[in-house]
Amino acid sequence: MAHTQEIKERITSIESTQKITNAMFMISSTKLARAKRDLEAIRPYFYGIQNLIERMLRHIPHVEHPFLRDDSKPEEQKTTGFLVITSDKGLAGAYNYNVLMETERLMEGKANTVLFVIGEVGRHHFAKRHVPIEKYFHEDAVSPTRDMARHIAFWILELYRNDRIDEMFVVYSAMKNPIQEEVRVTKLLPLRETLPHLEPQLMAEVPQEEFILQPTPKDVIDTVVPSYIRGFVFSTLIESFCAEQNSRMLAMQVANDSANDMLHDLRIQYNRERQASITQEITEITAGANARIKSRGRS
Amino acid sequence: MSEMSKTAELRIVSPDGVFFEGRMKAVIVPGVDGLIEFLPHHEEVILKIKIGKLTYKTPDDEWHTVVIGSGAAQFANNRCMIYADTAERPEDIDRKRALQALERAKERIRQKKSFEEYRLSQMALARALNRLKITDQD
Repeated sequence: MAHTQEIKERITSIESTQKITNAMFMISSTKLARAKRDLEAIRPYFYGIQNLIERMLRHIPHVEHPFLRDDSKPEEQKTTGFLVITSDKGLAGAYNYNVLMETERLMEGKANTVLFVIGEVGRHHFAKRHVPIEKYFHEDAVSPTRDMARHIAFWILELYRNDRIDEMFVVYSAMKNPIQEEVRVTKLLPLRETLPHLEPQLMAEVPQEEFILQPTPKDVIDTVVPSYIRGFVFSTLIESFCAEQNSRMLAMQVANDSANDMLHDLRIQYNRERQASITQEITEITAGANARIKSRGRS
Repeated sequence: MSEMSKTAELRIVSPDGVFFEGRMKAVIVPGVDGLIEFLPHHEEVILKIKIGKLTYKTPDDEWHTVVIGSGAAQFANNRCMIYADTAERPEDIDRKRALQALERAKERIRQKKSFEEYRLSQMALARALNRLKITDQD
């Protein structure tokens, strides 16, 4: 009987773990639905600002502004900033790992680097390797907030304005399709390379409307570009959050499935074991009874 | 002039989504040097807007107030597009929350942290003050 008891204990233990993975699956799916709504909401703003900047640069192609400067500095004198988006918790498959590996690969090719890290997993990873982190942002809310994006964008701009960094990259995850996510790297600053539609040939074909920039072109860029960066940071935060939840959902789904497989096998084993012990008992009883009948017949 | 050409299209967008989309007869936005009014068929302009109060008149001659954050306004082809960090109706503002934010920002400024943090606190202070000021008038 001892063996069936052990199997029964294992079954209960797997069942309770499955309850947890199931709950995590449900939580992730609701979080994902909410984050997707946030992402939809910010889209008109983000693309609007992007259009506005493009339009502005089309009309004033020669404006001098630090946000738009050319990358003329030699590569070895440049300082490159990286914003790495990871999660606070694990149990999300390869989600964090992929982003961290991509960051390390990119950092190897750069002379000087400055790291901005979001999420406990990323912080831990770089701390363990003694890589200095310039700024660490803790994701304390249920889903990314605009306050957080504002905070991060502020620090990026601050370092950029003070010439501490010459360029800025964002390394984040995004959902390619509902079952696959990918790591994306986007250059955020300087802006001229970020916006793909700014090729001079293209600009020549667009009819020139006369725009007045008030109070000065510099003032307008000073306001609009930080808004763009904030919007960008916020949407990458949400996009990463979606990928994280999705990745966790998949991981939990797999855990659930393998728990079901294990339970199935264990139940069969348990029933066999139980059947075997019953058979044995019956054999023992009948053997005992037979022995008695025989001994009674003799006497 | 037809009824349509006496109005212009107005779109106010914030990171929370499209706040307003429709026809307008006039918009007054807080510019850097003071309030600036856009009427239909205004010349083409891109304008920096400050944190403050934006008002617009719908075709029924009704004036509406929006508590607006900093951003940009663009007027082109009889379309006025406003992109702002925040856009809220005065009646949606939680004064209690704004007051708390104000206190927090003041406290952070008092602690005299680094210059960057001072600027960050000042931005928060401006937002809180703006929310309180506009809801106070109504």
